[in-house]
Amino acid sequence: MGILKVNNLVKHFDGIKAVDDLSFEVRKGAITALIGPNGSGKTTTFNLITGFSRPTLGKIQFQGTDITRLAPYEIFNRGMGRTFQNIRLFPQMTVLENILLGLKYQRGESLAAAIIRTSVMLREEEENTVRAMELLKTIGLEGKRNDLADSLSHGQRRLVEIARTLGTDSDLYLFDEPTAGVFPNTIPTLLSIIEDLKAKGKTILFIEHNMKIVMDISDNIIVLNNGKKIAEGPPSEILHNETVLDAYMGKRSRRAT
Amino acid sequence: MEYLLHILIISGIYIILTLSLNLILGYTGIPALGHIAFACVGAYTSSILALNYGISPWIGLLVGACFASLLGIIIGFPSIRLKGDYLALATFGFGVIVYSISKNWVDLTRGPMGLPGIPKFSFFGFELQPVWAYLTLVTVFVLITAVIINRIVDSPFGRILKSIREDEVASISIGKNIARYKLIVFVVGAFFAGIAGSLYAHYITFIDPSSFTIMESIAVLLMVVFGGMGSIRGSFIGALILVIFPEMLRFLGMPSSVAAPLRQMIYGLLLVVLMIKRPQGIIGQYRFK
Repeated sequence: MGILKVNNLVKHFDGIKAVDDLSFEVRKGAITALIGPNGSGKTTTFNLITGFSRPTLGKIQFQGTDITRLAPYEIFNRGMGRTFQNIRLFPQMTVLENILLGLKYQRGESLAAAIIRTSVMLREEEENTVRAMELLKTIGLEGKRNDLADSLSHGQRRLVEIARTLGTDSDLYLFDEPTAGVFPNTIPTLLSIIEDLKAKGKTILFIEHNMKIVMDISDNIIVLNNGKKIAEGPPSEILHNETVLDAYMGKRSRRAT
Repeated sequence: MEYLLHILIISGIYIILTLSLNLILGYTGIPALGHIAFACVGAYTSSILALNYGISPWIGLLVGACFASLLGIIIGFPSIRLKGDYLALATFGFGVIVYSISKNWVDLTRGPMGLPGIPKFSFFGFELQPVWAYLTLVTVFVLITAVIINRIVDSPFGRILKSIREDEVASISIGKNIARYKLIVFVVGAFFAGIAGSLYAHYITFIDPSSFTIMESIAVLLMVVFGGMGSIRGSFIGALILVIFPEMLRFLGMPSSVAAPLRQMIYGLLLVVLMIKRPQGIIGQYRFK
């Protein structure tokens, strides 16, 4: 069962084909990894799926509906949350505010409710704060709730961004290099978050350079090179795939060893 | 005494302008340079309604604010597509256009001759003639504006505004329809600026285009930055200081021909010092980018 279907996706940037006739399916409830050398079109693919960039050609289907031409916030509202390779937090807002912003369905987000300050809205805000604190606990940063996001370390900011996305209660999560630049002792926290999501029946598509992590947690791996899919399959298969090894190591250097 | 009350009334009107611009600039991070245009629309609308059609200034105030909001939608639209310097220029352009219309549409506005004899607000048939009565009225409007804008920014709605200021892309990525929020902010900001314009017109009882030049927009912008972007109290402090401080020049026995340009020089100097010493404004936390 594919929750996300990408059909013949093409993206040109001034004559360069960043994504070239790419088709794949993401299975519901599975962890899918998108890997490939630098510049192979992984992040571009993410941007196309989440609506931040318009495909030149091709079609993207999510939960059975065509989302190819939708605005990013509309795609989000259909149940797709994402993080960014170069972490995007709200630097001059507190950690708690950053998390609260991710929570869905807030009455106080309408102007009238904000001005009238209804008791329903205030109660909802309290519940949301409790929920946000729970999320902060899962990443072990509940003590930082009132610190500005700006003051956090790189790894902590990565965690806050992921926690903010968790709060969106999406069906499909796209994580762009969740472990990049993170201290090794934080990686288990990240992995347990991803595995918890899977246990809850959520679907995960992630980009990752750390092969050990990819092999450990993925159910399915899609390998890109020069914007094309060169292989797809479970970790055991990808590990021994000749084409993939060539793309990563280069043909000549492999012959030399 | 009367002079002191007059200064406080003018300060109050500037506080409303500063608060409403702070919502757009300080909280949402939209560099809007034509804020006085909204006050211009509010002032002319309620004055013309009162002078030509005998409509009560109270109703004129509301209609003027609504007209200003309409202009807010028009000026707000480019803010959806444009960013940074380009947006600042676009709003600046709108400010110039509104000023030019007020100056050149002579049939409606009497152009540079201005509109004299604008009626004052009246209360149960009594005109608000004494200055203290008018100060009370303005104070009430200042408080209403401050409470409403404070509620707007101190809510999940306001949180989204700040998120737009901080990182638009991140805000979109968590499902916020930022175009909608930007438009709402322009409508609300323009509404209060329209009220300020109308309050001014019915207090001074004479308006002409020279009250709504681009320099006025910049003065309000300075008040926001000076007091502190993203701070309600900052808007009070910024407007009060920048209105009262230049008035003191009068007591140095300076003729108005010297005092007026000196006022602008002082504004410029204050801004330079502030940007170096305290870029977040007197009591703001958010730094100007």
